[in-house]
Amino acid sequence: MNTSNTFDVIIVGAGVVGCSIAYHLTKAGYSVALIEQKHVGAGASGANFGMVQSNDVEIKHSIPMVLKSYKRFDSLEEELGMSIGFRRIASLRLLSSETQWKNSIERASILPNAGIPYEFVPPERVVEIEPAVSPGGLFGATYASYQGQTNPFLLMWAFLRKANQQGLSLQTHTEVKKLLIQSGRIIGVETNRGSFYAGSIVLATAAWTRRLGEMIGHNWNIHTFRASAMVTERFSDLQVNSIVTSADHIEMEINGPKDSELTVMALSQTQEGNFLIAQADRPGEVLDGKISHVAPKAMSTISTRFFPVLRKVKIIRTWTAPTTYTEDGMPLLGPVEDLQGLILAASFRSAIVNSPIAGEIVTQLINQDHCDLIDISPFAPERTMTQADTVYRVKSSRTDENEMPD
Amino acid sequence: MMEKTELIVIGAGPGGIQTAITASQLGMDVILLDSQRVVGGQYFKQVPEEFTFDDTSYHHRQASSLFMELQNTKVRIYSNALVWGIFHNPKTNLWQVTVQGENCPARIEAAFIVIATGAYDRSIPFPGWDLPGVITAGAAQVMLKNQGILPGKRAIVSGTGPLQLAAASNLIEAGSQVIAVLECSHNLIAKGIPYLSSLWGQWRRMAEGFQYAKNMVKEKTSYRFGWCVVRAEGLEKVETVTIAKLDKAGYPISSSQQSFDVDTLVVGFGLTPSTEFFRLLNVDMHYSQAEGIFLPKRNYFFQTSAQGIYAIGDCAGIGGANLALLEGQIAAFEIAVKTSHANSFSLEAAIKQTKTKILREQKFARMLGDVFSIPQGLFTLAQPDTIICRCEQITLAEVQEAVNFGAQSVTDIKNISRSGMGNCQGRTCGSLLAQIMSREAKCEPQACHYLNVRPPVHPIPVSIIEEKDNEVLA
Repeated sequence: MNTSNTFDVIIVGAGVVGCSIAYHLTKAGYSVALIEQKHVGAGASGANFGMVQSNDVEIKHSIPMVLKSYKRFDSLEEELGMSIGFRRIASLRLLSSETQWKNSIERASILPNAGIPYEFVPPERVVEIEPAVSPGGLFGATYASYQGQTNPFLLMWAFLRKANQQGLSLQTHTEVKKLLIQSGRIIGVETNRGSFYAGSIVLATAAWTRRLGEMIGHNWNIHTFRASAMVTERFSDLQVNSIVTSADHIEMEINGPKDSELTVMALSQTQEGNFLIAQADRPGEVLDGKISHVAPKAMSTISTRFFPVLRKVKIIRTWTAPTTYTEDGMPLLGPVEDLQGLILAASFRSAIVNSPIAGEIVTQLINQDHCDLIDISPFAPERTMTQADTVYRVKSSRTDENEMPD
Repeated sequence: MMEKTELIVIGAGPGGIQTAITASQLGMDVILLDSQRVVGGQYFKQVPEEFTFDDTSYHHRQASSLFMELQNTKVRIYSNALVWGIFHNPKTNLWQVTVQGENCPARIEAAFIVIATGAYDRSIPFPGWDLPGVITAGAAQVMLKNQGILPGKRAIVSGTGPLQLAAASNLIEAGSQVIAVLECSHNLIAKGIPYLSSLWGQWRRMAEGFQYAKNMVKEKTSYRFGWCVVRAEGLEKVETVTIAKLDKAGYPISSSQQSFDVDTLVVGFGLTPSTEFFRLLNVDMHYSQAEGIFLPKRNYFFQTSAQGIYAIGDCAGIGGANLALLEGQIAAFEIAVKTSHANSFSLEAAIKQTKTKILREQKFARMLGDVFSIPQGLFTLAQPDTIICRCEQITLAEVQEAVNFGAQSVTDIKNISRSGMGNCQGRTCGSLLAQIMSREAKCEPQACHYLNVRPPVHPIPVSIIEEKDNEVLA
């Protein structure tokens, strides 16, 4: 193991994407340092439901990448030599209005042809698929029968365990203070624990990407919002087989007041029997990890609307996830122009499903300067963005990165 | 339902009660919250009215007079009120405390909060520690004094410190046979000599200790120094306890092992501060070698690094009830000055008056901590198949495996192994993970960091939190 502070590659950000890149690069024989400001998965990677999903893919350019990466999950546990808690699971989006129905039509026509099962189902069928759902007021649902769920922590540590064996230098609680540039080339990073140098630097920094860019005068077009979530005690009286989401955000995006909590319900039962429930989203960048004083209430209310029996279940933890999105729904993936040696790998939709392929793509970029796996030119980090039709986005005109919640 | 006040005090043990009394007497509007049915905390644990008892002890008189003083103030007291979260309300710029309780407001806001949440039993894992019939010294006290239940008929008490003497004595008084009280520390007398001077003025404590000793001698309970439980066994509850003599570093000497038939094993390894709210609020913490955990940093007036949040009593470091009473007074005065209910002269006078007493109590607490410390060897009692995280049933072997993956903090261990993800959210196993990691990864315990706390700090039913009656989300 490299005990100096010079490496072939430095990766910043030990989220699921950073861990995958670390695994693939060390497998290819590079000396790698993975630098993380807190603990592994301290950002959104450790704060999500582990959904391995293809049904919310950005439909213009991202389908080939998501399909390829999704297939990797078939053999990932064998390749990494440990369980990551992966299982096939269906995804059910409950539609409560015609507007929500209409919003899914384009997706329902494109996805099945691309190999992603996705269909409209009426309320009676919803209750067949998920008996615990209260069907009152339902218009129907979109049903993606072949999705997945994994344990996000085990996924990250499966990558890391192997990477550590392959010589990775893992540096947690190490915060990047400065990106070091010399003659148009990035040469390293300065941190609170000294400086580290490398010929290539990969930023897998999600919600922190923008501010790193600002340090060097680059405007990387990533937006952040704060998602909130909670987990209950194990509760076996209720069985929920799919990942169930609501689509109310669609009207709220169009009509809702600018500063409201945007409450989307996402509910899933883990293999241990705990419920991961609901998600209340707040536009604007809030990275302090603190849940708002209104989010627990919003999440509880919306989840009991669809699953009344949850009222008696006990919540054991709430948390927030600093989630990112881009205006066109595509990641920032690729080399930064006019700055040698810097690669971005941020804002995937979603990071979990794309993590295997992201590791392979970045390894190819470092190995041979281009990627043959898929066409990543649409994901160029500094492209001009046009707003796409996305399944879920918070309109950028409604968000103000620096606005304090009022 | 939302309430507003000037000061919220969380925890109605001696420290919290005194804080509320002092603040209210200075003219502040105070709300005092406690999760138990009646106030008093652990130190002044009130016996239910249904039980008749006859207690003219000093302890009882001290409690009664404090409760009476509290009753004579305008403090609004809510018991059976469980605080599950502390948030910052950006609209009002106040702290918002969320409470689960039938007759209590669901949300209370104030600019100042004094956290006086006390401490709880410190645990050490050993084979069989999760068997029914293995209870902590604190639990034994609750069962005996508060519930009128005899934990068992034939007990061994093992641990360190004066609290287990109290437990043993109370067991004997209630009719249990206590075979032995095992103090894991060697050389108490030698260790205690440097602190002899701090015993001056602690007559009451010494009298208590003498009473415990009397009970034990009467019942021929052996009091052994440098001994400890190493294993508990039994089919569905504890039936056999194996004890061993310890070497100077606290490692059990296997040739000295003896086994006893019991139906109860009381383990008393002292107390550990309840620091959930400080980690929830992300205040600056510092590592205490003596306590083996991170504690909130406080300024001279016991304010944490979060504006308006104060920490007094055992929750900020074990110091005992008398110290909590004194700290509570100072914190109350300082907040009264900040809210213009008192002037800085009265604060200075209060500090002057209590300074010597505070120093004396701190010295006594330090002595107890030094003399009755847990030797390193005891952290090796756990075997690979010993449960470390009781909520999720995670074994030592699984925790060690997580360290071997490359974990660099207790949070990494938690994420890999699930330790700390259960209902108690790491209350019991959090510090154990740091001990294990420090040994396995050969690093300092403080380099293991600590588990973050998020609301709710205790499991709360969804129904308590959800929006009721079209209440506007404030």
